[in-house]
Amino acid sequence: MHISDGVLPLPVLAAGWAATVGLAAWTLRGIEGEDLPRTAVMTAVFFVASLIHVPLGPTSVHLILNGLVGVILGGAAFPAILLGLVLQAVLFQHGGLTTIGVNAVMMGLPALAVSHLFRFGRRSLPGRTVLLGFFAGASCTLLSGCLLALFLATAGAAFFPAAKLALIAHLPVMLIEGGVTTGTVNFLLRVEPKLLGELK
Amino acid sequence: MTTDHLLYGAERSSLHRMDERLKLTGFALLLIAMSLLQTPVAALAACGLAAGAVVFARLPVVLVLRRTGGVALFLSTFFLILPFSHPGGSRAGVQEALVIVLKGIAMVLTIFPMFWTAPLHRSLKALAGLRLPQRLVTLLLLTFRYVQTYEMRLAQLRISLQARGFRFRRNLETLRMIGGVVGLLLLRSFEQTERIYQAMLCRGYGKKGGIAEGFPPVSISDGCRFAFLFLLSLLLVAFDLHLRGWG
Amino acid sequence: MNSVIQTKGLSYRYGKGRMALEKIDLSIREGETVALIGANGAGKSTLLLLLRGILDAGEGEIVIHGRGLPRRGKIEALAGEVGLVVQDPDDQLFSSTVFDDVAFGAVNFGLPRDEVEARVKRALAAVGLSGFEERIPHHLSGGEKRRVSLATVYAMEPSILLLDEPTSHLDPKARLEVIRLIRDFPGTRVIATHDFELILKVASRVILLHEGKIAADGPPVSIVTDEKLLREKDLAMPLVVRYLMALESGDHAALHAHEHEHVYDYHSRDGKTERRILRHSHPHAHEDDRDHGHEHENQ
Repeated sequence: MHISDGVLPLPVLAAGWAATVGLAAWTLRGIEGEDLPRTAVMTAVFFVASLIHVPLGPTSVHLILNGLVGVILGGAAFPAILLGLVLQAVLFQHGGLTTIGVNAVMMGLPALAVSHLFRFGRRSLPGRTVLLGFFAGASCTLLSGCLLALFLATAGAAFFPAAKLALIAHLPVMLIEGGVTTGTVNFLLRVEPKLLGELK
Repeated sequence: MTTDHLLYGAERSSLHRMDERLKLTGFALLLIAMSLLQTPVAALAACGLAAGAVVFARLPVVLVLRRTGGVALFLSTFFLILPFSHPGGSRAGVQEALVIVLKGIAMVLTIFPMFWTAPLHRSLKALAGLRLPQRLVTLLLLTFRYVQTYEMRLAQLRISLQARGFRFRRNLETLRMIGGVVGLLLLRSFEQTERIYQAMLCRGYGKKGGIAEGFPPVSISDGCRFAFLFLLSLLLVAFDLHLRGWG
Repeated sequence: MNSVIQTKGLSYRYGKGRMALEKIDLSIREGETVALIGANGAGKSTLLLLLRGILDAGEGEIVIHGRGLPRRGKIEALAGEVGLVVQDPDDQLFSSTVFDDVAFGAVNFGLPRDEVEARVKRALAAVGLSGFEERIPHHLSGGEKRRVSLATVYAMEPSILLLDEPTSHLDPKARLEVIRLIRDFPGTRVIATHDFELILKVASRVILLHEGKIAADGPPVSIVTDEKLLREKDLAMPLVVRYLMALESGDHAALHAHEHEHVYDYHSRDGKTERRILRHSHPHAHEDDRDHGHEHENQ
């Protein structure tokens, strides 16, 4: 889910950009040495994975996976999502350019929150990692949906119903994101658990 | 998919020869101007401008229309909502929806002459020339490089899954299966980064770090092109203000 | 004796697993071309990574050009002297254009722009890819990727070249091209490989690694023709080598189809005859003669 070019007023776009510049500067500081190619190449995988379309009702939706990005990349999740949005806008014209700021906040902030929750959850609920994976995927989508509704609402009272609709549309996506994230966490737990929340 | 744009990066118009730093800045100004528009007529003019740029850059019209049509369709949902929710009544709602759709189309169209008139890596490097953090640009270039590799690997994995009878179904098992595939790709990428990093270190990575790209000084003709884009942006905003009755 | 690479008691262990390399004593002279052979997991790649300073040796020491490696900053210290071409070109070629990839090392040396450009030009010419500067590495063919990988290291002008399986996954023509390029490199070469043709064409010496130890060290022909040695160390002699040996000794060897079987006949001059059936007309017949083991050639 994202906000397209042309919908939001300039002040909201500008605020999104300001927040994104700040968050990016803060999270990029930690990416040094091997973290740099790792963040880049894993972002490439997330980007490619987000092109997978999953059937939903009569239509299909593409994956977002920002919860999974948070689980795996931790603080680097924000720049990863920012990179993904830039490439998406440039290559597929999805999401738009002026909206990169708000979209990065909308998808990246929940990813950062989920990354902390997942790490905290693994420490306090050992043995429940797969369940935490579902929670990470689903809750991240929900948070993103709330932020999307919030941003739409800033465009004026006329947009309140659109905001509500957008939030409702996120409910089935939550299940999909939760399901896929569960699958990934389950796989990595068996094969290479250090990828789950131990990278910076 | 991710390589579509490569077909049109070769020299086809004077936009293709324009300095990427000026091109990106000029079109970014145009995008900002477009996002300020509030009247349907001005938004329509913006669509005309953007379409003109697409034609001028000799970009593939069919592909551009297909991509733009998708966005327009998505934005058209506002026609179903705003007329009923707008405090100014249904007429105002329709007008607002119209502005949104037209602006959306204009802005999507603008991305094509902005980014599809040069190989993407050149545009990305130009961002470094525009003082974006070196680290971010290096990340972008590396990510773009490996998007192409992993797109291929995902396609191969999909073939091997289908060859073993896997079909997309509407159930949790399918989702978990997809998740597993994503996990496998992540694991491979994690292992690969260690080797990439070694290859980078072997060639002295870290001393200076990142990309070092010299940019030639700006030519007069490129300066004129930039000035033209800047002027268009100003005119567009002025036109919109005029329509709104500001003089 | 001017040895450019020397190791004493070199050992390495991945994590807490078994020893990947154990007490390797090695001396490589200037201009030598050493082929490292051995089964998968024998320690070939590990040795290359140690020689390049990427891995830290658990025990023992490495001396390059008469100098021991520093404790810290090994990789940087060796950058201008030892070049490593890793096995997968997708790891070696991480930039968005061929120029950027080949220039990467020279740029990191801090060389001025025109010197970088001159080096890129020379390196690409050396691998026969002049004019490829603006190409995108991902879109090159397998053989071209290998050649650009070589160029990325040539541009740093090392005196020692380390190559990890430089001819794997290439079609025959591209493979021969890469072999020719490696042969033309004017320095000391250490090549980890399974490719016997590469060995016979460029190596002056073969070192056989087995379970982390040096199992044999000698002239290429005497090692690749020692069938007993190869088999003991989990390797197999390729049919081509067998055939070449027959030709060399004046024996008669021939490969022919017999009914539905593919048969390799070998007649030595002293009257002994040996017949090997490569492909049986009856597909399950292989299971009956496992003990011969000759058919399971891997090369």
